Amino acid sequence: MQGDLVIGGKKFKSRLFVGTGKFSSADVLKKAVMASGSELVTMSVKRVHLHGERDEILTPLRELGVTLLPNTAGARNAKEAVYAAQIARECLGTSLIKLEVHPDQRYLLPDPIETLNAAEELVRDGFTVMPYCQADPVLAKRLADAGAACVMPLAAPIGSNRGLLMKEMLRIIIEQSEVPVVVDAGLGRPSDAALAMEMGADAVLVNTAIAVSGNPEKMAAAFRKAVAAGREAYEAGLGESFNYASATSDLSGFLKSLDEEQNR
Amino acid sequence: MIVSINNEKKTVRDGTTLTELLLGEKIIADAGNLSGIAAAVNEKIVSKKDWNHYEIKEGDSVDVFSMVSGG
Repeated sequence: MQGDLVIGGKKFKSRLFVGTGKFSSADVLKKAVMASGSELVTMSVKRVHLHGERDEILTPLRELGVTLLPNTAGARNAKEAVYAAQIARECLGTSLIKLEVHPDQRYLLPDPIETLNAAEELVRDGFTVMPYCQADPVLAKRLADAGAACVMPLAAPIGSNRGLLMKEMLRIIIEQSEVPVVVDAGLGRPSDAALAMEMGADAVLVNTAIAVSGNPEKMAAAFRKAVAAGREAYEAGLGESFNYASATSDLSGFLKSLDEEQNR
Repeated sequence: MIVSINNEKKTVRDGTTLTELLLGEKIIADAGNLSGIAAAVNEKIVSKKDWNHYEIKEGDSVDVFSMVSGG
């Protein structure tokens, strides 16, 4: 039995959070979310198209009973992020917000200064702030000091599927953080997620790796198992690693008996 | 009077409320079910409970938002 994760007073049994972008249809998304076992899924805010199709995923997600985590994706500075957060709160009636500020479109890297400024303002305004941030241990600490409910450092650029490029900095963040650490962005395969969890991450957020896979439902199930396995390994406590071999069978007894044979 | 809704100019009668505007533009189908959407007038969010009596003024810029998929 694994321990629950608590963020902003909310308990989660599953340590896999899932993003809802890039799925080929609402049905594929719904099946993937179910297979992932996730209890927290992200959404975005958009201006309503006056003409044309609406993105009808809210109803299927509500049917699943998962907690919705709106994000501020698209915000280029603190002011826009605060506005997006307020819009999301009005849309969904939730104070949870995944704070994202990324002015650079090529790498979508988060702006640390604007993110911290927005976090301070949103905390004052009563939000449960979950900031997407650079894998910077000093920044992670500053965000926690500002009242963030957790920190969400990136493993690699959003949607890149490149895995734990920031591994060493994530290790330091995990070691030092007094709030839950959710490794977000760039996890490309279940083994990346398992490794992050073995390192002691409290949760991971995965979107692209599931959504663009050959079979999102199956991949979501694979991530579910990887996250659970990684967490279980972390809770069990990994064995120490050594540079030299250390025999797992008692070789000496066997050799001794051969020696005795020769000396007879 | 002329107002703008999500950057499109529209002509509406004086005294139009936010609810009437959104129903008229078919942005909402049912004023009783406003889940998942939000509106702002001149970049100030107007709470859904106020939509029925919030009157739009000449030149107002109305933005309507909804939740979509995202990571």
